[in-house]
Amino acid sequence: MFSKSAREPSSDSRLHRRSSWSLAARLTAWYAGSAFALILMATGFLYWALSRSLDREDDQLLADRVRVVRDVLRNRLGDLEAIRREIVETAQGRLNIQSYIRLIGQGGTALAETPGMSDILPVDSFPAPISGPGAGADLRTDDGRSFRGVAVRFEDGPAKNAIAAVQVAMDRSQEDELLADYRRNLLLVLGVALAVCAVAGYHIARRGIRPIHEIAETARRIRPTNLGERIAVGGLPTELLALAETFNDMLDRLEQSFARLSRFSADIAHELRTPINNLRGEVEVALGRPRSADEYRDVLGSNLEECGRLARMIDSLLFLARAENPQTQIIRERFDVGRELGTVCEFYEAAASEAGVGLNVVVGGHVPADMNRALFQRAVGNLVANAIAHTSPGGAVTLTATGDETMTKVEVSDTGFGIPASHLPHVFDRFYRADPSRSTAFGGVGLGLAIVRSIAELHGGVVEITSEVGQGTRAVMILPRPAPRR
Amino acid sequence: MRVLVVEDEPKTAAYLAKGLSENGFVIDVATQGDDGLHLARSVAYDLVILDVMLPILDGWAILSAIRRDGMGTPVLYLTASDAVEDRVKGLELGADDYLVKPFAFSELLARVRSILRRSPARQPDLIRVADLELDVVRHRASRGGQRLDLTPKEFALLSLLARRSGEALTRTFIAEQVWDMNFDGDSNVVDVHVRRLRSKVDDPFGLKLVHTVRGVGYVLEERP
Repeated sequence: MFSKSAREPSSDSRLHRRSSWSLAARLTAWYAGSAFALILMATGFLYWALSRSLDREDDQLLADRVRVVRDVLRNRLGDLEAIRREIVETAQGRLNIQSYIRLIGQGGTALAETPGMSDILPVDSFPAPISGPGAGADLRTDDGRSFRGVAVRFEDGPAKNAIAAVQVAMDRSQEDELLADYRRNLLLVLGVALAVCAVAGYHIARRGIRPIHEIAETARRIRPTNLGERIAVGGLPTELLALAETFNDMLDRLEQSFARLSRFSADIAHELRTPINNLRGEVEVALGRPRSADEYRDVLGSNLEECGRLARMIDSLLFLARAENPQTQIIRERFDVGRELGTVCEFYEAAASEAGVGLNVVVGGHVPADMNRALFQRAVGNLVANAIAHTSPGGAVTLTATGDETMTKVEVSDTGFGIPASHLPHVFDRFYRADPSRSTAFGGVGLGLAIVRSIAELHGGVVEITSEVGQGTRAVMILPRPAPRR
Repeated sequence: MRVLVVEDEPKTAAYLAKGLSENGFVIDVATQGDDGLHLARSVAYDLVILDVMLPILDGWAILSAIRRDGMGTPVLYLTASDAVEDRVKGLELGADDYLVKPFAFSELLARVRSILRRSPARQPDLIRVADLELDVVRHRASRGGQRLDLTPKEFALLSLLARRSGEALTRTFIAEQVWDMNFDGDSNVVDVHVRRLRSKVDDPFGLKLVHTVRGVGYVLEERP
């Protein structure tokens, strides 16, 4: 009836253990890293903007100088001496910024320059002259001083004085110092920012993770004795809310199956108690005083009946347990449902007619099924026995079957007393009896329908019961047919 | 017929020995695996009944040792587990049949008898028990020359009981043999069939042949 498929659970736990960084550490690193990168970018931009605006300012200044030189040249045509004087004055200029001016002749030699200029900035240290005002170039002397310089070609007017170009430069030492100062401050800010980011990141991460810790803490606390406990969902962020709710749902299901299991064990104990009590009582009474052999035989016979009952109950429970094991597979064979229903009917016919209940099979044509024949018989037999037991004399029990390539449908309907709606959801539960007083009148212990459901589920199918009080009950088994193997 | 019972549970061993000897077998009991193997090797038994769970040397080991020795002694083993693996294992090792605990003693007796008469004895065409006569070929039954009007299933039930006359048959076995039904044994269906059969076979006659064996099932025999 059963076979077991040997499927080992795939165990590749290495995959789950690749990184052991804690979530807090990871979050901290990410927070700190990204915040620091932002600050770094911002300060870098500010520094760049500052140095660029300094450059512009300097270029503006140099352009002013060039204009002044040009004016002087225009006013003092040919008077080289005056021009020299003018240059010295202009170079000393305003704002305490030391600037240098040099006039270049047509031959490329210096005609006039600010005194001492050639020591620091020789002619060839300047870039090639350009024709209009433009960006200057950074010049660096051998002793490490920094200048901004520009060379402008004279193409009109003063050029007739054999002056080809003018070179203007200004000292940038102060600006360099300013920038260096700025850099030092930035580094300080960045260092502090890095530390602050790390600490803040760590705290944010801890805060974010705290609900997870709380969930874990609750999960750790839960034992079979306090399965009713749930994770408090109030105040949880949305993402964790879903997790917590899923977890709580799982606990709900666990609690339900746990309750079902413990009710089930209680039921088993209760059901075992009756036959064992009978056994014990009968034997005790029998041994109480000497009796005839017939009396002893009677007691022993009754004991044997109780043993049979116990054995059958154990068989049924084992059957249910095995059917629940997901690794259980059934061995199917093909048979004709109509014929099989006929067999079942033939078997129950005598019991039905004794109960005054008509029993008939209505199957149109050949209905094939791929099932375990013994299990199918058992399921249908249980349904029929149940139907006969719940139908009064004069009623009828009808078995029908229909099917196609995909499924087989078997129906057992009766014209009996019906089942009240409140009992319907439970009739397939183990040991459930709609009418507790009836208990074992028909020999069953309340496992018959549970076995029917197990058998249906083993075949991947379902069984449903609909009923109307006073009208009758209809049990329908729908069993899918396995696709033919290629 | 000499039968060896290897079983460590004292009560089980005791009732098996008692029940089998009362049914005409000569019984030896071994309560440990190594004793059992020793006995099986030194005495020519017609059958060995072997519990699988045994101290020192388990049933499988004894079974394979016996088969390794080339002994063809029939073996019936008893197991508390009806897992398919266990059942298949015993048969693969060369056992002839098995029973899952808890089992009915009548069932055991039936299996033992069927193993021992496995050499296919031809079924007689005519069965006689007291004044009951069954013509298996023509499907006719009569008592004291008076024809009994039976349905085919009733005839099948009666001939099963008559062929096994004197042997108590369980309801499950009857359902399987006559109706080819896999039956829980929880309901009284077989009882109703037997009641109907009795109304035709026994009720009109003075001598009752079909008897109820309480807690077991039914037997057909002539009782004084």
